[in-house]
Amino acid sequence: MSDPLRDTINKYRYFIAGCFLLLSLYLIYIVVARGDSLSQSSGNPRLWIVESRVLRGGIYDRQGEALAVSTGSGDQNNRSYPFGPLYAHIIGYDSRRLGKTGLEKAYDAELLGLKGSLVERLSVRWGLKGVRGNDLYLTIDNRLQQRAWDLLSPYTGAAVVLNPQTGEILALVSTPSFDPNEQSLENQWDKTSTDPGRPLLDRATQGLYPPGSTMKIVTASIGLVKDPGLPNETYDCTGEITIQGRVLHCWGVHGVVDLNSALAVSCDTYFAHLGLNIGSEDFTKGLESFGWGDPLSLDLPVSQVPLYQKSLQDPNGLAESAIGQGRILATPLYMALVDGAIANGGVMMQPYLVQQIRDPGSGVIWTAKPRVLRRVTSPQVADQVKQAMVGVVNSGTGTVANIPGLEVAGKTGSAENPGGAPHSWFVAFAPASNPQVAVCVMVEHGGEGSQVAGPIARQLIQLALSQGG
Amino acid sequence: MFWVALIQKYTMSALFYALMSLILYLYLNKREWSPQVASHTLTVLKSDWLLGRFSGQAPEASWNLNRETVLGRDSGCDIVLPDAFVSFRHARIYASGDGYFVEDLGSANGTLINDRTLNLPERLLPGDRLQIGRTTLGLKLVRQENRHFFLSIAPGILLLTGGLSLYWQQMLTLRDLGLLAAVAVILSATCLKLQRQGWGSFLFIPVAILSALSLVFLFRIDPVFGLRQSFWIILGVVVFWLTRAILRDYKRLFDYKYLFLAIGMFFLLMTVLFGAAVGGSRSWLTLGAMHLEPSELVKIFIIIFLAGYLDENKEVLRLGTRRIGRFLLPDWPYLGPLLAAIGLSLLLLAFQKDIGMALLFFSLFISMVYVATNRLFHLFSGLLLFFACASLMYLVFPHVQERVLVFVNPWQYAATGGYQIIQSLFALGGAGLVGWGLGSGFPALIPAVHTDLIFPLIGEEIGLFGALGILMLYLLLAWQGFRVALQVSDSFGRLLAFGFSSLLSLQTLIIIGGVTNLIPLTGITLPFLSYGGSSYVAGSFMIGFLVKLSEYR
Repeated sequence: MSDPLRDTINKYRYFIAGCFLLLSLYLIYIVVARGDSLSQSSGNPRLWIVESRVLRGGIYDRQGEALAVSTGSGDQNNRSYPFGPLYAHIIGYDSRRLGKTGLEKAYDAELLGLKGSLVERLSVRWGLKGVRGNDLYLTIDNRLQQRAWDLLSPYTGAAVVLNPQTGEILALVSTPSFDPNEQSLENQWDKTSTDPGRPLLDRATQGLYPPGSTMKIVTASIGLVKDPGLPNETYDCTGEITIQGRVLHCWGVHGVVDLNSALAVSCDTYFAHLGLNIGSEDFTKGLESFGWGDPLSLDLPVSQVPLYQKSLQDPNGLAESAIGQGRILATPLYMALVDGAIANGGVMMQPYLVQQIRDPGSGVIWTAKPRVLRRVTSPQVADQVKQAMVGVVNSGTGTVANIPGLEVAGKTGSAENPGGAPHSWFVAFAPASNPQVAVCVMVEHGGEGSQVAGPIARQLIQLALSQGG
Repeated sequence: MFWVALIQKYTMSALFYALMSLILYLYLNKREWSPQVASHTLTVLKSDWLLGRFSGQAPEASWNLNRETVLGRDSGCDIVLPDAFVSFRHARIYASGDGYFVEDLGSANGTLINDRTLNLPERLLPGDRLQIGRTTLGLKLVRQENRHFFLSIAPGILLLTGGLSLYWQQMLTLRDLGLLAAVAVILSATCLKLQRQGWGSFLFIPVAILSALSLVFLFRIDPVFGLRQSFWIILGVVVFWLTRAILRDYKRLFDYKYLFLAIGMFFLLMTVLFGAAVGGSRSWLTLGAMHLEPSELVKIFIIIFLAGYLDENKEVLRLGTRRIGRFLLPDWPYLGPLLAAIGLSLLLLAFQKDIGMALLFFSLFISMVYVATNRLFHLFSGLLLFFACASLMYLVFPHVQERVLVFVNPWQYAATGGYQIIQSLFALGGAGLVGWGLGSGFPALIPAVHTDLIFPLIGEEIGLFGALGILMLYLLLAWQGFRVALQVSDSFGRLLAFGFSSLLSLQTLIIIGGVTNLIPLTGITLPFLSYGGSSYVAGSFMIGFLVKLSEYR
């Protein structure tokens, strides 16, 4: 017997069953697909509760020097940073009131032991006695970091030291900085956060500056790719170049120069002319192959180096970009990577900060593996640029970085900016035959690259190589 | 240390998973766990004279019915009634279609059905009173359910296991454990008794499992809640039995449908006038030390009213008598009272700021009208009306606006309006497949964790599997309820059963959809799991009513 009421009830109960099915699928989605990001979200108060129940893992440099340690337990759990402002930008802070930043944030789950084995994770959650999080061992060399800090702290700026063959970051300093220890951080927060010197900003990874003449190593590489015969061509520097009626002045009159000598004396007109010869299309492609406009991933927040394609269409914009002025910007970390890529035969390695994660009980549970980020140019071109950079240090504008008995390749930069004196840049790597260390130093309004940034770069290279050897 | 904690925290979860798997297996694969009809019998309800007094035959109380059963004084009849007022061949009862019909065989004194004289063959329904001579007979359904002893005692075992785990983790006192054991015995005894009677356990067992979980988690949140809820559960079981005992003839409710509407309106009006604000909405009445949430009871009254009104007018509403454009619409005299009643109750609820309850009422209303009339026009015009009302409420009430904004992006309001839903998502999302174990969640972080937001805590502690198990239980309950609705023999009963089942399922969907942010979060209780006396007792009444209705088929 067919009853309309019965039919609709029957339809309706399948509708309800469908709703339950939908709800179940959504629940599965929340747990399976969003579970990790939800449980490790910085807003999740569970992490703080768990933190009060476990001893947060320590953070150590590559030699095992403690950079962040937790002592005590329960509510007396206390995080301390023995080196104070030295690592404020890398390691960050861990404050109940202000949250977490840096590696403390990026590796929160690991430091709390939430990513270990199931037994470990459950023990942490249940607050069983004697539970410890995992320790981080960084690629950072504390002595190098300390030296970079000492040299740079009188100024506002950033320094990056890395191993160009692996991408390990040996030092990463940004000045001014702040004390990340919870007590003083919270007490001085109002002052720190409103300080016009912006101590909270990590200039090394997030500060975008015109790279000035250090850009010329990029322009040279792009030029060499486009025209392999470039080293044999010459150009007469008259001290200025007129582009579409606008005069671009060189900082000197260099006469007849070729690629090597133009890089050595950092001739602006040569490279502006080279940029125009390359043309906006190929120059843009070249910048893209170096990574401009691509996001960079690191465990810390990183500014993407922007690619302003529009300004490259205009001959004046193109010429300015070719000498690192105008609308071309880069972070100090990025220029260190570019420098390192030239050192490493045109291969840019993915930079990283964490070498190992160790369980206090069972030892190493994760080790970083060097990874190629991108090939920026051919080994031949990289080698030609490298030789030109050796010339810069041996007999050009970069002689300040000359180290007796060591072949250093480098490039100075003085980036003009509306804020005052030019930003002082220096990129370098050594030894040129088999580069172990690449350095980038940038001092805001430091003047000529050779004056301020150069000596700092030299000392960092010296220290890095004396330790490595 | 670790292994001890593992046992403490996961024994109850493991038991729950096993129980859910068993139910799923029984229900899906074997189709065993459902009521099965054995036979219909004709039973003596009342006899003014002593049967068999003159014949010396032993009096019989009931007879099994065949395809055709003849009643009369003659000894050749299938049912012999040796009464002088009974003709030799008085009447016959025959099976036709899916029911039994009774026909008078030209008896001298006639056959009465529900005090009316039977002229033409008429369908005999359970509950009808068939009077032949001085004997009143009734149709009775004898059913046989497959008995599962483990299923019957499972709610009790679950409750005891959870209680012991909590006691072991020092979250309970011995006194609490004793009370818990008493409730465990009551729940299991009820299930066993229902299975022995042969019907009703298929509805009550899911409720008992949910009640057991509820009590474990309320004791785990705060023994004070657990203590009170224990009494509410006991009261609920009493109401469950009472409902079945009192509702001998539910059809008489039909005549009082407007009275129920009036009582419902009165309660709502009282709340608006004298209501106390609890958790942002003025939906509570305080009677001395008692706090009552009248809307929980009004739900039931409204269902009875709607079932009665729709049953009476469903033909008119279905066909329509007035033409507007392409549509045939029912006249205002038929549609008007319905719309007015519902509009009034929604308005009252809006004044109470109880958005969840208003949403529930509205969806229930649309569902019942659609099912009764079987016209998609009513469904769509109802939905249109719903969106119009929702938009109006959005524009008029700032708290509705806030709910919607929070729903769209809770993270933007993480510190204010979105706090609750985000905590719920943290709890559910971080739980993984099996959860963190009983006693390892963080109820203190979730506002209203004992009432509307108990589901996230349960999810956090017994995991995705547990949460899905709970959804399955609710679906099972709704499914069984709809099955009752399909099998009830009269349309009033059918609409009642449908109303109760859809109310329980809609309420579940609205609040679980809310805590997962699939729909905006609105404050209503999760049936049988949330803390609250009004909600639990109202739920028990509905289940009791459904069990009663399942007898009439």
